[in-house]
Amino acid sequence: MASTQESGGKRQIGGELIIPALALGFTLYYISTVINSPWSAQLNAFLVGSVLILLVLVFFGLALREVLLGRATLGVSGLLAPYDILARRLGFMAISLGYLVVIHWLGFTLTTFVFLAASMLLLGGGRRPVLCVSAAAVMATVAFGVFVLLFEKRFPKGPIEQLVQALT
Amino acid sequence: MEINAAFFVDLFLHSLSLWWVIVPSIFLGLIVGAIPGFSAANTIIVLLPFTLIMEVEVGLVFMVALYCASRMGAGIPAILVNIPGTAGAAATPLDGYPMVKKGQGQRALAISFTASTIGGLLTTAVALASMPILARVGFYMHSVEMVVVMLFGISLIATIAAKDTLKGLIAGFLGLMIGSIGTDHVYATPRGTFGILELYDGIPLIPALVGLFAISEAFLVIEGESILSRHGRERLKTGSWLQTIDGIKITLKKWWHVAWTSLIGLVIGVTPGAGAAIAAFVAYQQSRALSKTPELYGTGHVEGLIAPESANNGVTAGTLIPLLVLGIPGGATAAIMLVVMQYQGVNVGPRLFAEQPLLGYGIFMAMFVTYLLMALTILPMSRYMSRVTLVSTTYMSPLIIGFTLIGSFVPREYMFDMYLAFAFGILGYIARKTGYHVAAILIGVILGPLMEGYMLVALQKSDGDFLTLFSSPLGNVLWLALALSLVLPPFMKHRQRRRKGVFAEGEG
Repeated sequence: MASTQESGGKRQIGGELIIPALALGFTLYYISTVINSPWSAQLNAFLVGSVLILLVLVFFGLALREVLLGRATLGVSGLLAPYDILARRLGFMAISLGYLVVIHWLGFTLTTFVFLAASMLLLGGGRRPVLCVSAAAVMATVAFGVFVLLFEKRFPKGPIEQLVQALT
Repeated sequence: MEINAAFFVDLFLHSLSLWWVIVPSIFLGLIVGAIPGFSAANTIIVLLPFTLIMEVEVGLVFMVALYCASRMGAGIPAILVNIPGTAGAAATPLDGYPMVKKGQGQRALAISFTASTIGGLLTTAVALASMPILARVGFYMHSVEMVVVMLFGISLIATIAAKDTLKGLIAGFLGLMIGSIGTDHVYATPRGTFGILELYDGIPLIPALVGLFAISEAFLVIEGESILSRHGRERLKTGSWLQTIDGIKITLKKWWHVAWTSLIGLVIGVTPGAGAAIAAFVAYQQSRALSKTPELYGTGHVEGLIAPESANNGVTAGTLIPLLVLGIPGGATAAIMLVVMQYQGVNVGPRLFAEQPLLGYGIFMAMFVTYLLMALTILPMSRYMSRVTLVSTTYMSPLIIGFTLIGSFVPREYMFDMYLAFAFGILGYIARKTGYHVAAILIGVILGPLMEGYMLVALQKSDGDFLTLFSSPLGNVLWLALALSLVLPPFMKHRQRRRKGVFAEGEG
C-alpha cells in the first residue's frame, strides 16, 4: 500500500481510505436498488460490485494491519498538504461551488465574470486587480458571445441577458 | 465511368479545388473539437440549415472536413491542459500531458498532429482501396466479439494498476460501477440513480471527463506558479521551431506504430456503435502491451501519445464506410450526413458508387485532402499553441474551471451536469492526492456501460448461458489475442530480467 505522507516515521493513510469508503458505500447502495430487479439489471451489480467489495475489504484489512502494527496513522495530511495554500484551495473550491449556486440568480454572464474575477484575485493574493478584472470581463464577454448569442445555449438568464434581450 | 488511377488523380485535384470550403471548416472544427461539450455532430446540427442549402458535394465536404478537424482539435486541450474535449481524446493526456509538464508541449502537439495526419491519410487510403471488404466487418462483429473488444480497452485498468495493484483495481472497478448508473438496458429499471431523473440515461460523459481530468487538475496545479516545472518553463521559453521539427521527425520514424494503431481505429470505426473512445483505449493498451518499454507509458512516452491520436483519427474514415457502402450510419456525425444526403436525394449504399462515383469516392478523397491541408495549416501553429502553458495558474485554473463547467452544461443543457462535473472534480482531486489513477476510473465510466450492453445482448440471445461468450470462432481468436496481450508482456519482462541476471552473474 503506497503512503501519501510521512509523519514522524509513520505513514498517514487516512486520505487513502476515502475512495474505497466511497466505493463501498456506493456499491452497497447500488445493490440495494437492484435487489428486487430482473437479472439483466443485477448483472453488473453482482459481477463488478462483488469484486469491488472484495478489493475494498482487502484494502481496509491491509490498512488496519498497518495501523495496528504502528506503522501508519489515520491522518489525512496527504490530502490537505501543502498547508500554506490550503486556505486558498478551499476558498477556490468554495467559489467554484458558489458559481453553480449563484448562477440561478445572477445569470450566466455576470456569474461567470464574478467567478473568474474573484478566483483570480484569490489565487493571485489580490495582486494585479486591474488585470484580473479585465481578463474576467473579456472571458465572460467571449463566453456570452459564443455560448448564448452564437450557439443559443439556454444558460440561466440574469440582468445582462435580459438587458441584451430587451435591446435586440 | 472507369475507376482507375487517372480517376483518383482527377478526384484528388477536384477535391483540392474545394480548399475554400475545407480550410475554414478545419479551423471551425479545431475550435469546436477543443471546447469540451461541443462536437462535430453538435456543430453540424447547428449549421444544418446552411448545409442543406449548399450544393450536396460542398455540404458533404464541409461536414467531412469539420469532422476530421474536430477529432484533431480535441487532442489540443487534452495535451496542453489535461482537458480532453471529447471521449475520443480521453487517452491522449495519459502521455501528452506529462510531456507538456516537462516543457515539451510544442513537441507533443507536433507529434499529435503528425500522428493524426498520417493516421488519417493512411486509413482514408485503405478505406478507398478496400471499402467493400471493410464494410463487411460490421457483419462479423456481433455482441460476443464486441464484449472481447471492450475487454481489450478495460484491461488497460489492469495495466494502469500495475504500479499499485490494489488501488488501481479499486479505481477501475469504481469507474465500472459508476458507469452502470442509470436504467438497465432491458427493462429500464433505475439503478444507483439516487432518484435523480437526469441520471436515468446514465452518467453523461462530458461532465465525467472534464471533472476527473480538468477540474481536479485545476485544484491541484494552484500548488505551483505554472503547470510547468521551472526547467520546463525555461525550455518552452527558449524553444524554437526545432521542437516542432523534432516532433514530426520522431513520429515519421515511428511510422509503423502510427500505421497499425490507426488501422485499429479504422476497424473499430467500421463497427457500428463502437467509437473513438474505444479505439483510443484499445490502441493505447495494445501499444503498451507490445512495447519494449512499457514502464515509460504514462510518463510522457512518444508511443503512448501516438497510439490514441492515430487510432481516433483512424475511426473517422471507418465511421463513413458503413454509411456510404451499406447505408448504416456508424455514429452521430454519420447519421447527420445521412440526413443531408437523403434530403438532397442521394442514394447511399452500394448504388452510390455505381451511380455517383464522383460523390461516393469524392467524400473519402475530400477527407484525404483535408488531412493534407491540416498538416500544412496546423503544424506551424503548434509552437504558438504550446505557449498557453506559460500562463500563470492564477489565471489558468479559474479559466479551466469556468470553461469546463460551461462545457459540461452544453450537450444536454442541464444545470445538474455542471454540479456533476464539480462532484467528479472533487472525486478526481481526492483520487490524485491519495494515489488513485483517475484514468482507471474514467475507463470504467466510458467502457463499462458499453460492455454491459453487449454482454446483455449476448446473454439474452443464449438464454443466460455464459459459455456463449466462447461460441464464436472470431470471438475465440480475439479472446486468445487478449490473453496473449495480457500474459506476454509480464512474461517477456520476466525473461528479460532473468537474462540480465545471468549476464550480470557471468560478468561478476
